[in-house]
Amino acid sequence: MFSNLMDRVQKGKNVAVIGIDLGTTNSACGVWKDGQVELIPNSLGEYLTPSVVSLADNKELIIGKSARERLVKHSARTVAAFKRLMGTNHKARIGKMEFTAAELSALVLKSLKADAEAYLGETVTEAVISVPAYFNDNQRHATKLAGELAGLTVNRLINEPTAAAMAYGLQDKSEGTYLILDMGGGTFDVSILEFFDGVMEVHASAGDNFLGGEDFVDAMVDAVLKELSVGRDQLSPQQLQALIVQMEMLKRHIGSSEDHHLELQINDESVAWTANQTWFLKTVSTLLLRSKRPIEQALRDANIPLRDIDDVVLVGGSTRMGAFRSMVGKMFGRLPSCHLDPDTVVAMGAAIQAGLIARDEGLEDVVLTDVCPYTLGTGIVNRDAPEKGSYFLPIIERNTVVPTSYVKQVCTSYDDQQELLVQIYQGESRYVEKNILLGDITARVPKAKEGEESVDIRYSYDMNGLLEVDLKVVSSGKVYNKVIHNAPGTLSDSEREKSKKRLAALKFHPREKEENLAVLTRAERIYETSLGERRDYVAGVLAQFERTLETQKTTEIDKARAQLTEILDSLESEGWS
Amino acid sequence: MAPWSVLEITEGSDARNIKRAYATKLKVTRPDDDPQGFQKLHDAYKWALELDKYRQQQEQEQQERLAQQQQQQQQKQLSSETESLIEDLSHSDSADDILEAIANAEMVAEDDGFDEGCREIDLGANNSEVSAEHTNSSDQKVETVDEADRSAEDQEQSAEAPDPELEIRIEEYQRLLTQVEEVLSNNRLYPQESNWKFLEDTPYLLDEDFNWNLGLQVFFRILQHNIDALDKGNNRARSYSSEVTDNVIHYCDLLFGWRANAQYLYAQADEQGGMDGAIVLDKLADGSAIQYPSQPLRGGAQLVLDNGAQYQSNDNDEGQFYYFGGLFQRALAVLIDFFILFTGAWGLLSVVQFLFGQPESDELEAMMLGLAFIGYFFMALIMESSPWQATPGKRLLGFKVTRKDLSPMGYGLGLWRMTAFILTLPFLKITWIINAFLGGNLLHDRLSRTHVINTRKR
Repeated sequence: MFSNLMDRVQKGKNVAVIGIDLGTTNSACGVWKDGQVELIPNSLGEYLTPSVVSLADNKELIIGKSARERLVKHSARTVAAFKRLMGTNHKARIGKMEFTAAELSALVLKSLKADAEAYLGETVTEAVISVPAYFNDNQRHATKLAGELAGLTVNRLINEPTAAAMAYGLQDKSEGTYLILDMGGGTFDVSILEFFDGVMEVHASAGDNFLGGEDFVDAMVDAVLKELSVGRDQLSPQQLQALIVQMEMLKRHIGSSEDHHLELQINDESVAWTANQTWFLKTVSTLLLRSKRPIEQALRDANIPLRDIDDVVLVGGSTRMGAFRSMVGKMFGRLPSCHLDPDTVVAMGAAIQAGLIARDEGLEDVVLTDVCPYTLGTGIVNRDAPEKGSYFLPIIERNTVVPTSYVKQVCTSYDDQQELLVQIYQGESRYVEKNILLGDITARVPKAKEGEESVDIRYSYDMNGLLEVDLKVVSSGKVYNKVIHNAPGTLSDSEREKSKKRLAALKFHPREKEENLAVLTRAERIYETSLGERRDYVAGVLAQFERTLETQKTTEIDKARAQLTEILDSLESEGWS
Repeated sequence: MAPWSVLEITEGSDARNIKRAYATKLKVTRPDDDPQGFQKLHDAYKWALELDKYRQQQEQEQQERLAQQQQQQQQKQLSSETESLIEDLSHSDSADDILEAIANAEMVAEDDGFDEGCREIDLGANNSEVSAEHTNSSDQKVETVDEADRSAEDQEQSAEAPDPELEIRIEEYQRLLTQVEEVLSNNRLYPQESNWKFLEDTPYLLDEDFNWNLGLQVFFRILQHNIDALDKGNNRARSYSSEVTDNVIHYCDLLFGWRANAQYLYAQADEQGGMDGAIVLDKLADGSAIQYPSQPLRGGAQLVLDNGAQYQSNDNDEGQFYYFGGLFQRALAVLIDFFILFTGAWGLLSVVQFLFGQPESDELEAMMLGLAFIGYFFMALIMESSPWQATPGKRLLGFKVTRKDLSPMGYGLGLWRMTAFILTLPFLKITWIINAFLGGNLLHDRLSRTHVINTRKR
């Protein structure tokens, strides 16, 4: 089925639409070109760009790997993992500037856009951006806003597990039912999909918006600090970030049963620390157990017996954790599939979706249907137990296929009521208090006896997972449309322009100097976190490289950089084992 | 019928054909181009699949019935005893029974000796508890059923060589259950989630069998506790124990996955002397509170919070910590109350004066003082047991009077609290001196087992 798709997409010689995976820890982008997915390398020649933003002393913005290395030494001027604040109005202050999560994401998107433009040799204005399937309406709007602020028209928001499934579908061309487990840096998604006859149908999605690799590292940091009886706030930001880096490295290598010996810098003291797999498992066991719940829920919601699942697919960098893999293996009694790179598979899927969107007329062979992962509804008066707050009246049940549109009628609750406030909630609790408020709309109704005036509430959920609400007063026929007030993270048009201008005024670190900066910052970070002989050694090679840089001879600099990278690689390995 | 005409296939097509027809129609009714058409098509598709499923079920049942009839004919030659057994089996076709049977089968299949080990422990614990004159009947109820369970599987239990690893696990299991009972028996411990965190410190939590058995036993203990708490509430024999609340049950659900196994837990609770599992499981139905990340950001000079306030860190889950109301502030509260009461008494006496003429001024002062004292007694008694949980002065300073487990007092306890207050009054000076060293938990608080907490200071 997908060979057809390839031909069709190939024919469409429209403007390139890029597919972007905007992750908590890393971002990546790809494009559909010449009948296949191509991942776009960044200025360092790497496919993964860490989602980290740093402000240099000369007010230039540094994005990506160099920024990540600066987390230790310049933690007050560097920020990471901001995807967790998406859909809120909270701001992160770096240096003297304040940014919302959408603005920070926009900066990362800008950098990816520049990479894509350099790679494709043309301007890029359209993109498909992936979001966690379990992202709520506010978070989706914020992601779309981030795209707009970066100067990209967001053609579609695609759910990450669905994107991964598309990439796998393209690879395997096999029909069947799949369970996708997507654990990234900050979010965990579970989706159950079925392929048949060119249809990719999502049966159910569930997830946890705040469960990912970062949480595992946090749990490890907390466990270490607890055992050493040191509070998080007792550490300087540098020490804390250095500890986080060490734990991140430890997490990647702890698969084997041998002991790992670390030197931790806690309050000007060097503490010898030994960890093994047993310690790791104990530390993260609640997180692993937490990840089981969405899996169970998705299976229940999809109402598909376990034996009908043909394959379990792992997506996202955190699924490389041995502990997670063995848990999944035990749950399903089989080895999960992960033959595509879990870090880039979502970007590949997003690129395929981008190719599908840039389709020519002939491309009608693959249709993707998705579901909304949350129940959406409104609050109604609770006369049984008023102290518990309003009841939740579901309008669109979770795991309903999208796009969809449902109407429910509500009536006035007291005599001569003139206004009817419709609050839009998302969640699964019987009481609105425990659900998430997305916004509200007020409709004016004619005066009448209690219950005699009523309003039709129509919820429409589109392909991007974005909600529209229409109210229609039954007696007067007056219609109120979709304007959702009070939703955190939304901007008015003028605010949007202002934010765009502010971001445009920021200077980025020049792309061509990026490679040197990345190596320099990495060496500096290793210098910061090392002691004794090792530290002196790093200082030596670093000084040598800086001298070479001053000569401004490109070939020599390139050679020296390669050498330094090799030395640094020998000091620490960033890969997984 | 409707779905067939929308899909343009003949009525009663099988699943394969339904899917094929749906796929074909979908290519021309794409969800992004024609949302309404798509919704109609998708509804028809799901409906058709349901009908097909129903038809298949019917066919299957019919076949089973045929097979059953054949079997019954054969069975006629056999003894009536076996016949009734098969009857039983063939009747147990309701979804619940099947689920339960599957769950039971799984339980048996899961056995690696650990289950039996656990039961043995429970039995042992039961015996020792009885001998230690532990007369909590509820515990025994749980244990005796375990015993029954065990005897059922006793035959399976062969004389295996004891595995040292297994023994360590059983020991750990026993230790955790003892700790659960300790927490449950102390009404200051069990309402707070943080006091249950010891459950996640065990290294065996990821072991399926260990997790399942521990979860089951914790469930029964909490269930029994809540049943007892509710019973006492009904009998109006007020006791200190209250129900284990949602936060703890949600936490346990996170560890043990109760919600996913609710059906089995209901059945098991019912078996254990007709306990109603809903008493615990209903608390999960409301859905858990929204989870927020413990660390929202990495790096950054500062996180500037939006005052529309959506972000809550997980700190609240750490259990609620309150401070006692400080001695000085509490004295201030009493002064405020007396000021109010004096004003009231003065007003009242002015009226009396106006109506009945002028009493002596000394007499007037004494009367005002007396009235204020009696007034304070009743005001405090009523208001501290009311939803305010505070006299006006205490409320002004953000204090609340509570039981030791931070739940509101009843009037009976309020009366005892005031009595304790008056009892300590004759030793006024000594009381003040002693109270000054008690860190806000004063003599009459201690006597009446109540707390005065400062709700503004955390």
